Amino acid sequence: MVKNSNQMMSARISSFLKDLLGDSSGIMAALGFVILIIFILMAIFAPLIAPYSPVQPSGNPLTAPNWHHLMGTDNMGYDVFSRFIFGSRMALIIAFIATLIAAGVGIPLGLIVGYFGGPLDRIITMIMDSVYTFPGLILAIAIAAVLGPGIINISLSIAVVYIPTYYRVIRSQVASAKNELYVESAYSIGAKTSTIIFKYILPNVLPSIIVVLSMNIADAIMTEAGLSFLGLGITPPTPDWGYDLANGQQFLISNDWWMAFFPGVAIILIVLGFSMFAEGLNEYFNPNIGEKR
Amino acid sequence: MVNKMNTETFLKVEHLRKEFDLKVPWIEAIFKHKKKTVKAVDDVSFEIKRGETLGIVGESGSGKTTLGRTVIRLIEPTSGKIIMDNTDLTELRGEVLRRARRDFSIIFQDPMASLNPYMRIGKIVSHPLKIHNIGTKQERKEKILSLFEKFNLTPPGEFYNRFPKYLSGGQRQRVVIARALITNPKFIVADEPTAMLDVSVRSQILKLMIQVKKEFKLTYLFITHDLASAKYICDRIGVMYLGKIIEIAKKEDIFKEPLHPYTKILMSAIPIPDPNVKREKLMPKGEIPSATNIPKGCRFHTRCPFAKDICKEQEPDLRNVNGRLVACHIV
Repeated sequence: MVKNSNQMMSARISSFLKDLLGDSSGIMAALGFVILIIFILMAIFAPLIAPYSPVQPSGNPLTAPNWHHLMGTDNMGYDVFSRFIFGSRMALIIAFIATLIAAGVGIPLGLIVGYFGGPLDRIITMIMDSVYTFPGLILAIAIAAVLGPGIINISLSIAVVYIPTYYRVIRSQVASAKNELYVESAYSIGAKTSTIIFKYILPNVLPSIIVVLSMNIADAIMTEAGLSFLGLGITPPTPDWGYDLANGQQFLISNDWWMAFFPGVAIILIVLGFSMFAEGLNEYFNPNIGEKR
Repeated sequence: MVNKMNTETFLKVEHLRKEFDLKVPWIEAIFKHKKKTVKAVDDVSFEIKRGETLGIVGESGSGKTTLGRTVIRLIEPTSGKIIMDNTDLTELRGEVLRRARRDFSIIFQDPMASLNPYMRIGKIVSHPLKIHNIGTKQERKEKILSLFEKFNLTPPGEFYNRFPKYLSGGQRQRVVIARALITNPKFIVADEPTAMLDVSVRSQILKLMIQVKKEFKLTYLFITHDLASAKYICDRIGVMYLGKIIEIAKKEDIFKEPLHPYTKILMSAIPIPDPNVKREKLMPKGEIPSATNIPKGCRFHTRCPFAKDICKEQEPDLRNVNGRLVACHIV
């Protein structure tokens, strides 16, 4: 896969991490996993952890971090820490829904097209390749602008960007797996086409699906943050890191750094967590294809 | 292997052809309207009697593997008839063909590649039974365990739950044979089943195949390039050259007195473990021609040491010479 587009940002992050940490992929995966667990728990128990409501002013605007407001307050008087906690919900929900849609469309399509091939293959591949050539964020912006804000709409516009990634990986793997002798022997014992696809081909391409899945969640989070940053995401004042980052950066000039700093750190951490975890999975499932991705 | 066999014809292949279209650049496809094809199997006819083992020998590229796969409809034949037990296999379609597959199976050359790496051995072998709805789950398992016992895959219970990657080449090939046999088929195509195994395991597998042939009353089509294996297991042998059978005869006859020049050359290539034996060295001229461009006349005349003028003009048919079938003008 090409590394020069922002679609595979997480791939670039993880290859950088690999250089940094050497071949200790076990530690990397574990660290990534811990970060993920922390963010997931944070999202689930957000109302218990957050000291204030994220959508109601809880103090004076633009208060610097102190014991009452661990991360300060923003220009509306909202508690930045509470928004930090609740922001993880939006990021994870949208990332998971988008990935589910992308995988749910891309994987079956790749399986069917890869197995049957022929003219169908040429048409679908051409469509997928043309979607793939768009820079991810720009395509997502275009779709989001048409669909308008809302969780499902944002998820959809992110999903469209990532469908080709699944499609391409699965199609190429299936196209090579279907010529394997074990598939021919399945055919020779009288297996149905559906049995061949689901019992003989799918298990053999599943490892790469899992890796692409965890990689894509990281990319989806970044795209979601990007959309919100540009004002195409969730309607404010729903807590969202991308929106908070955009809102906070106007105040950087007056040294009110905390408003932009903490959402930014959150985005970096969660993407880093997913990337590390994905890289660890990749090492585990495909020890010999590290470079091919 | 001269056992009392039935003289009833079990499988009859008539004028079987398989041509593969060659991919041509699209410019050529538009301007030259001629399609390029590879004639992998070119008008092959033969019969196998019930309980017989017919060997097909020939060098690489002679189309023997394609023939084996076409006979059991793994590859669609271009034309011809395959009559097995009074049914024409070429007329079966879809579900009927799928159901019919319990009656014939294939053993592939590469035991490493012919087992699904993500399926346990027990499941691999029981899958044909499951596909054809034979027996209950418990019955299937018992049948497989007893088969493993017979095939020396012991302890059977342990093998049942293993993945293919933990098995040796010989063990895997036995698993492949077990899978081919589990539905009690009548006919098995063995496509160079011993080519990828080392010599010590090779004889084990051949012995096992002979043993199960008696037990399951099988008929084999045994494809090989190894004349020693062919001599060991086959009753009759057909020699293939560029997609055509050029000689077909009883094993004893073909080894004692090969008639076709190509068969003579093949036989003279068998090493004799005695340095004092002098024999005429027959060598074919050059390489096997491409199957896209089969020579006119007798397809062997370009390499035949005895070629005459007629060989360049007229294609010889298989004809009866002293009760044997040979396709040569000279014999």
